[in-house]
Amino acid sequence: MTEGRAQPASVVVVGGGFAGVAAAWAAVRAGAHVTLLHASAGASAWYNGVADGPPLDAEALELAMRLGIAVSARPRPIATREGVIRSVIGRDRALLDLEPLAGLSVAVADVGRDDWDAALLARSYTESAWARRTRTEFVAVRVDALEEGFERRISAYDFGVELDVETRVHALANALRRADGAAKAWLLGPWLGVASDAAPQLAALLSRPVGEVSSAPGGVAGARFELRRDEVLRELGVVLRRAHVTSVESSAAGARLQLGDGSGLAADAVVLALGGVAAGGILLEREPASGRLGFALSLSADVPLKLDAEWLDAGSSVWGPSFVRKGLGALERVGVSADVRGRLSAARLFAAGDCVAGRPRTVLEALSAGLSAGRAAAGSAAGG
Amino acid sequence: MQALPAPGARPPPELDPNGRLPDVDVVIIGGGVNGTGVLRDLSLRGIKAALFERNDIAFGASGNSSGMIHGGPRYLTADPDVTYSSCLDSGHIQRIAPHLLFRIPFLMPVFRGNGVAARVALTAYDAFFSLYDRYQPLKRGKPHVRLTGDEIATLEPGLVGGVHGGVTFDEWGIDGARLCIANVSDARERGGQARTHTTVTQILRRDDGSAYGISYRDRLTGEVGRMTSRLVVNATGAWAPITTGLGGLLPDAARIRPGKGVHVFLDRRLTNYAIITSAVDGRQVFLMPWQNMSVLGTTDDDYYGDLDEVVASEDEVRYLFQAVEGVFPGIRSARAIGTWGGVRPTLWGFGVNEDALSREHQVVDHAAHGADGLYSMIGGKLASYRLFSEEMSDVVAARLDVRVACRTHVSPLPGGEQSVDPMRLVLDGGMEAVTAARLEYRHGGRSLRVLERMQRAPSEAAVVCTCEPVTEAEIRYVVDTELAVNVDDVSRRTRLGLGACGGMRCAARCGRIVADMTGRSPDDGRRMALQFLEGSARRRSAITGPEQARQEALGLAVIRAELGVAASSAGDFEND
Ligand SMILES: Cc1cc2nc3c(=O)[nH]c(=O)nc-3n(C[C@H](O)[C@H](O)[C@H](O)COP(=O)(O)OP(=O)(O)OC[C@H]3O[C@@H](n4cnc5c(N)ncnc54)[C@H](O)[C@@H]3O)c2cc1C
Ligand SMILES: Cc1cc2nc3c(=O)[nH]c(=O)nc-3n(C[C@H](O)[C@H](O)[C@H](O)COP(=O)(O)OP(=O)(O)OC[C@H]3O[C@@H](n4cnc5c(N)ncnc54)[C@H](O)[C@@H]3O)c2cc1C
Repeated sequence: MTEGRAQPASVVVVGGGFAGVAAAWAAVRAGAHVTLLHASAGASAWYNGVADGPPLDAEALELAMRLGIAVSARPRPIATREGVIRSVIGRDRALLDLEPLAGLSVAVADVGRDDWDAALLARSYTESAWARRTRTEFVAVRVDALEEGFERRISAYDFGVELDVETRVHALANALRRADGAAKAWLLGPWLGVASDAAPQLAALLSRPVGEVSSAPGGVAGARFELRRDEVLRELGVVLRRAHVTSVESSAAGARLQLGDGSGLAADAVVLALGGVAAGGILLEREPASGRLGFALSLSADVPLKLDAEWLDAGSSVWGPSFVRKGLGALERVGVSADVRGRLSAARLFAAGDCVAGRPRTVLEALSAGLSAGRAAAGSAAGG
Repeated sequence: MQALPAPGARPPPELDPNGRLPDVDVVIIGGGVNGTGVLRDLSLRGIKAALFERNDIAFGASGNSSGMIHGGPRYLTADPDVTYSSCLDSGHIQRIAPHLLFRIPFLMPVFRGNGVAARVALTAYDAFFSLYDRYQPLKRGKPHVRLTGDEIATLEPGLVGGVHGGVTFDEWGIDGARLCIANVSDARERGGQARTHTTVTQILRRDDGSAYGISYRDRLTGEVGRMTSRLVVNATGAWAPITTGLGGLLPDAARIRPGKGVHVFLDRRLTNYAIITSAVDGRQVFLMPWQNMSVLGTTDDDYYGDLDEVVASEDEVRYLFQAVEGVFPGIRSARAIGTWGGVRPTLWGFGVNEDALSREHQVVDHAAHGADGLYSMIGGKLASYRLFSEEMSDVVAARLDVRVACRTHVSPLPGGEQSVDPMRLVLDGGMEAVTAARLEYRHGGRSLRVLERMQRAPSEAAVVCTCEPVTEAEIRYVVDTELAVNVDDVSRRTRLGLGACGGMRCAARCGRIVADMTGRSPDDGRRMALQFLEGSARRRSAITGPEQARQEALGLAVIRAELGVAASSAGDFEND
């Protein structure tokens, strides 16, 4: 379609999670003109700040860094909101890296928020296998960090937004200093700013490590991802639109998308980065009249879904699949069937991330797969 | 029906076979509403009793019923005496535990269809419930009302069109688990003993066949022991035939017909009335507003599976949905968030279909089977537990020659002694209004004790489960005073983790609190949280539909991410 013309190939990416932003990045770098459409918050906007998955190549590493994720060569320990010490490859840089703190005493700030049981968490961390092996201790320390009564109950996200105000970061630093000037390091709840980098600022002000634990769904980590994604896409010159895609049709000549507002869009290639069931990229339906029973993509496309070894074509139960038999885990195993480069069986269609069947549901997997799919899409669009 | 011993019946031996005084007067096996009811009744009469519960209080039918203290309208024509005594006892329960009962107005719509048939049906219902009205004052129920189709369309807009008319009638709802807990708590305050998670493994019998106690095993610690007594009461509901087997009796010594019933619960109250309609096989099913949610129920099928693992099947769930869809189409897009299931210990009657079986109760004296001193309580209902317990306790008292009359109908249950205005909890405790109202529902006057905890330790005012809601103080209170030892137990007592998020936000924290209070490690706390999450996920798998699927997928991600279960390719320090 674009052969022999000076105009760059056009790639549309559907989905604004890690896979989508990676596909857009790779397609732009491969010379395509890219539009990214996304409907609402997906798993990436709800994630906890931890990035697991396969080792990354140089390009993926660069993108991860741009998205605020620190990736290390070896797994390193971080603390989760539920009292577990986990080893991770990548983490939102606000999460406290515990590796250099092995053998020390880490202060857990007890700020009196309802969602943060510092004393019991400190005990849980201290009794973890990692802390016992490295003789690391976690101690809850009372900190006067709340300025208003309501701050006790507002969500971690809302409290995090308050720390986007610089004076507030200074006030918190002072409160921490007052509470325990000798603490070797501070572990705080998941609310160290959304737009700001409050964690490194605090670390600089107190000249010791300061960081947070993993976020709850809808917390600061996902919100930071969304801000950084928008920034990366802007710099790349990607057209970013909030829109629900209702259908994608493709042929060897190109693809056509239909949007929820009734408008249409043409592209040389399309990358589906719709996310899984958690994101609303794959739906569970029960509309006998429309023939939609069981799992379906959030948009209509000539792309079949697969669960384990089965193709999910026509249904055999008006109620959809049996989760008693398949287990609720089926909700994470279902998806489209793509090859390693993200190619689907339909021409000019590619997929990556949580919407692909049987792949690990991790950030780094989504990132790597997104890059491959973006590259492949741009290649096919350019006449491959 | 076996003959019951007359007052002054031959007393059981004073000593056990080794010539020692028994540990207690009576051992009660089973911590459902009947076992706990007897424990309380005996304790009020000064009879020393100890109860053993294999799982948790209210683990069986009592914590998994439809939660109604009904007046038994179904017996009205065949056996009005049952209706009379049911209504009377409903009134008693309301007096001793006013905080636990809530009014449920029922609506029986009649659809137009064949005009004449509808008019006849409506007139018949009207006449029937006029009769039932006579008993309503016994339980402070309101008289029935006959409504026109238009009135019903206004009062219950979610119903499909074509309603010819209908009648309403009044019943009371209750949290069955709270009722059992209230009975145990009262008994323990009066010297009764109760051990949960402790199964009876054997009923001890003398050479002459008479029962003199039990052997038990603590299922959490593995500890085994014996407790001797003068009499043994088997109050194990659907487990009853298994239990008599532990004394070497044949299963038909305590014969029941086990009838499984399941319920689906849905987020929020969807209707103003409990709506009664017919399933495809003509059975009546209901969609009812219950506490802060809606309950769809129930089924009745013979059940011979594992009684510790009663889980709703997809067939049962779909049967219920299909029954209600026709009259209340909104149910299709409602969000089902859980199920519960129990097994009715129905009196045995062969060849009779399940629904026609009586829900009546009976005390079986196993002297007839050569086991003097052993009694089984068979059948019964939540609604008649007090009466049934009184009958059982009368038998025990007669045999032990204790001449103290039953007081369970006048002596308030814990929380019922004093009423508390939830507003006071808001003003004095800084609780949010919903938190206060729910707390007061569960604990009545005793909610002041939870409030005291918060005032002593303000951090305990933290809301741990935001769906219900449940505070840290309440969790600690039920661990301290209500025999809760794990997250499941706390959930049964407080409804923690049963809301739309399925415990995703609160189970792990609850586990940390319980572990901390019971001297166990944070790892143990996490394990009990996972046990709760897995159990409730198993109960939800039969209902996972369009509205809940996304939440389930999110829950899986959170559990993996935060608890490090099935850790990803990066590995996990906890596992290495
Ligand atoms: C609570 C939680 C904790 C997690 N913890 C970890 C962890 O510890 N470690 C780890 O590695 N991973 C974790 N993950 C998983 C990780 O976040 C996901 O695997 C990853 O974010 C998936 O990215 P994605 O781009 O494939 O999909 P998503 O981020 O879900 O993006 C899907 C996008 O598609 C859009 N979309 C869908 N349908 C349409 C349509 N029809 N039209 C337009 N747009 C559409 C959505 O709006 C969304 O923007 C966690 C996830 C969650 C939810
Ligand atoms: C689906 C359904 C709906 C119902 N709806 C209503 C209603 O709306 N209103 C109403 O009034 N009634 C209702 N009922 C009936 C009512 O719930 C039961 O009749 C009543 O709860 C029976 O109480 P129970 O104490 O005899 O048995 P259960 O509550 O079943 O208690 C028996 C206990 O014994 C324990 N146990 C078993 N073996 C051992 C052992 N070896 N050692 C120690 N302990 C042991 C079990 O763990 C269990 O906790 C309903 C029942 C069902 C199943």
